[in-house]
Amino acid sequence: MLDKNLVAEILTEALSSGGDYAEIFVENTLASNLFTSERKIKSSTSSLSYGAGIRIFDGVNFVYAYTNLMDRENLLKTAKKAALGIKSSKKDITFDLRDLELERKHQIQKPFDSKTKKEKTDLMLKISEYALNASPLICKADATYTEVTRQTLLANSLGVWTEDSISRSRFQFASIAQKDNITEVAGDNFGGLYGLELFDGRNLQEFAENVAADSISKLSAELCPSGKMDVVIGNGFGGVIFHEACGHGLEAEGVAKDASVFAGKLGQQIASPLVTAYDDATIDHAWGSINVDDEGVKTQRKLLIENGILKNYMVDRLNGRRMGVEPNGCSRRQNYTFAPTSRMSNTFIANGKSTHDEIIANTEKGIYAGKMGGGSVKMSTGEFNFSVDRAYLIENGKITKQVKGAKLIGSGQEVLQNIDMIGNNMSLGCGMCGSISGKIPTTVGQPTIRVKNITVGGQK
Amino acid sequence: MQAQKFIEKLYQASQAQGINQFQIDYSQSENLSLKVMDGKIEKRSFKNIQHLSFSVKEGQNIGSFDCGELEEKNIPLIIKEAKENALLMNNEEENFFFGEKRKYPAVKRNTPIKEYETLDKEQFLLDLEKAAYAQDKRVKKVISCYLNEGKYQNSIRNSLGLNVSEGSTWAFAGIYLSVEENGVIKTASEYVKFDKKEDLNPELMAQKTVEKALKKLNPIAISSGKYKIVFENECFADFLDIMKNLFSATAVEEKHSKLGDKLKQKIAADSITLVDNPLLDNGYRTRPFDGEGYPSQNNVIIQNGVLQTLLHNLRTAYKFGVEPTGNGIGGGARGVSYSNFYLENGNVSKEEILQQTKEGVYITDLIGTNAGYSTVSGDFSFGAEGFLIKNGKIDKALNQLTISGNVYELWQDIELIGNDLKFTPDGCGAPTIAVKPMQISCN
Repeated sequence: MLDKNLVAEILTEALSSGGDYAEIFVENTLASNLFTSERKIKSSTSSLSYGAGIRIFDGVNFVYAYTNLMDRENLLKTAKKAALGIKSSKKDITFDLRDLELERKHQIQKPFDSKTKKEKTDLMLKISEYALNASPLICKADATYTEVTRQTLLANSLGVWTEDSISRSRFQFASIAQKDNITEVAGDNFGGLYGLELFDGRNLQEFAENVAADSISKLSAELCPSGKMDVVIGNGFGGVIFHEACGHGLEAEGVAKDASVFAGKLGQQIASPLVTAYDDATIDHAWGSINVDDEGVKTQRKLLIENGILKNYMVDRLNGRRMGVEPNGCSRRQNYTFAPTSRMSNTFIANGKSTHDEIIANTEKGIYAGKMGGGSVKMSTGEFNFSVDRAYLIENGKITKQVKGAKLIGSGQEVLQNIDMIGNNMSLGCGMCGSISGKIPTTVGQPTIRVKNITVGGQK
Repeated sequence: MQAQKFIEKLYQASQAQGINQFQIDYSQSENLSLKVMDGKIEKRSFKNIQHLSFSVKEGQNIGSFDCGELEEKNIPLIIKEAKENALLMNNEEENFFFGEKRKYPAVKRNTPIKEYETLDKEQFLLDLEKAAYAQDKRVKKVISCYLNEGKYQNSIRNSLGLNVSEGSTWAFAGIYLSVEENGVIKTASEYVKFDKKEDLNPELMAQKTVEKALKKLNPIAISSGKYKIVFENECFADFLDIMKNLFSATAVEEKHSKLGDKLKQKIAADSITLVDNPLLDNGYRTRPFDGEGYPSQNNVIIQNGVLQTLLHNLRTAYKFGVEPTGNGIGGGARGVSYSNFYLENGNVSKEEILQQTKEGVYITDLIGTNAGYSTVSGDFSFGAEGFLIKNGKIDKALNQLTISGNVYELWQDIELIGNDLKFTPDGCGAPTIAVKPMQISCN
């Protein structure tokens, strides 16, 4: 995207005021978004983003400057301006930019331009029709399709030069059901590092009808009771609790600054002995996968927790310096307007030994959180809160009534220790994760798990 | 390529291709941000970016393409994509560019004070961090101590003759810290927009933040049940931010608001006046025109509890058969944008509200509001932080809470409105308010 000689000049300029490390990240992203609703093509938007971010380190302090005025003159000016933020004695740093050897996985089969936008919206409308025809109670079906191709270049004063291109696509679907004066919505989605083969081999009718059925069953859900209860959390997107209540706390961004409850706990028992968890950016075509991270380090499969013992953090280059450890390929950013930091990719709790049915059957009284909604956590206290999108009462080992409006609160540390059953049905779910380096695609995952004694906030 | 030159080329290329109606939105922004950690400037960040959105009207539809790279080689792609997007949509709804010659209101906007120019910003932040640690031994960590300043300029030019531009500058600083006692960690934050001389007091800012955090220590549990609720002003402003979409015409057409057939009907308690006012002096979101170039006006949304209007862009106004309200986003976007969106002051003080409430829960923070709110049904269930109200006064801090209810009922259930209107940087504002009992669970 940029000439090697110009990049070398920019890095040299960036180091001119005494920085001990400099890098440039260049990004060119082409994105397109289609939205259909009420049997119409409501919106079609597209964009091209192209820009560069220059980062300079002086020990553990840093400067970040970004621009999208990409001519030689302005790029050198930006490097110079960034260098003004470092006031140190000039180091003797020489480098020779060499290609990083990289396995380029996740290649797509059907390029995005192999179908017209019209053909894509025809498919979206067809899927919507499956939901609308499923029941007269379905009053609306919304479909959103997003495709993104992100080309990146990362070069730094360690001599790393790496260019990559990742394409990802996602389909999101929502159905609204209405009866008397009650309206309920349900949704589902799938995505990954795919071209248009994203839709291949899926039963799209079943997918849409399931979403429709979800919105209809919510119409007769009762209000969720409040209080402390055992909670069984379903597989797949249920892993969002682990992502929020533990994963963020294992990012070096918080750990290095002692702003995480898991700081200083390597080698300690932080979870029930049943829990083993990974962050794995190398899973083929998974939504959160990448070949190389946004500061030029190859990605890897990282064991975070083994049998309840904390084994690894997710470490980026800058926070690695603060902690005195090497970066492990998890530095990410939404785009060139953000400095990168340690983030998750595909983060999940590994399979245990119980079956889903055994877990339910062994639960006398509680809530089954079949599908989690979103939530958030305060990294410094570990306190989280989550909404449950689809919840049921468990009574005498059986799932009985559907309930709505359930919220789970507690602290990550407690929940991890209170996991007392883990299923063998691990699956992954797509999400977008927001943090200081912007919104990035991540995958959450887990088998069905049971947590003792969570506070459930309901509406009665 | 130089922006003005690029815009001219794109304009000419569009005319040469015989495009009848088109529009170019352009913005340029610069920004500096600083962050302090452990007595050092940990991060300095500079930004200089430009952004262009090109829109085309084909038939009834407007399609657009956003482009961050203003190079001549991209002009064919920009025009092709915008046209293709316009031709694809089949909404059967008329979309518009604004081209009427109108007078634009003069607005009074915050410009960072003179003293700010000569302020040693790095020293200010270093002082702020130091002051925070010096406040109390229980201060565990100053997690974030930052300053941001910037300016932006944007312009809209279209084939109907519209050619307007505006710009603004801003500066603010903030601190976020944690305190710890007996193994319990609590956090608090404060921010300040630099516009008065007294805003530049690191000692006072540190003191306020630490006090706020310390008050949250040693929390107690209460049993789950219904409690009378008092929302702190800023907290209710955050709540308004979450539910403001109720009043958007686009939310009504997409069934994410049930207020479409409630015009001129009573939807809120008598004493409620809710406005979206882009003309407010020195507001966070004060502006002379909206994203479509339509002149700004003060919109009274609820008066004495009665719904007066929804917020419209050019398209929804035409569809609903009303005048636009100046809430368009522009660049071909379907939704509406908000300006300074706030609940007007009532006439009781916060202390009187607490006294009249006697027993209940005082909510200071809503947490996890990105989930737990169904825009379709209006049901919500949020995490929260707060205090017990005992004998008409704020008493002990409470363990983690959830608060749940329904937004349509909430508007009806507001009982008292304070006189201490406060805005958040999102442009939403509210005074302290008291609400009839709501469901609370406590950890």
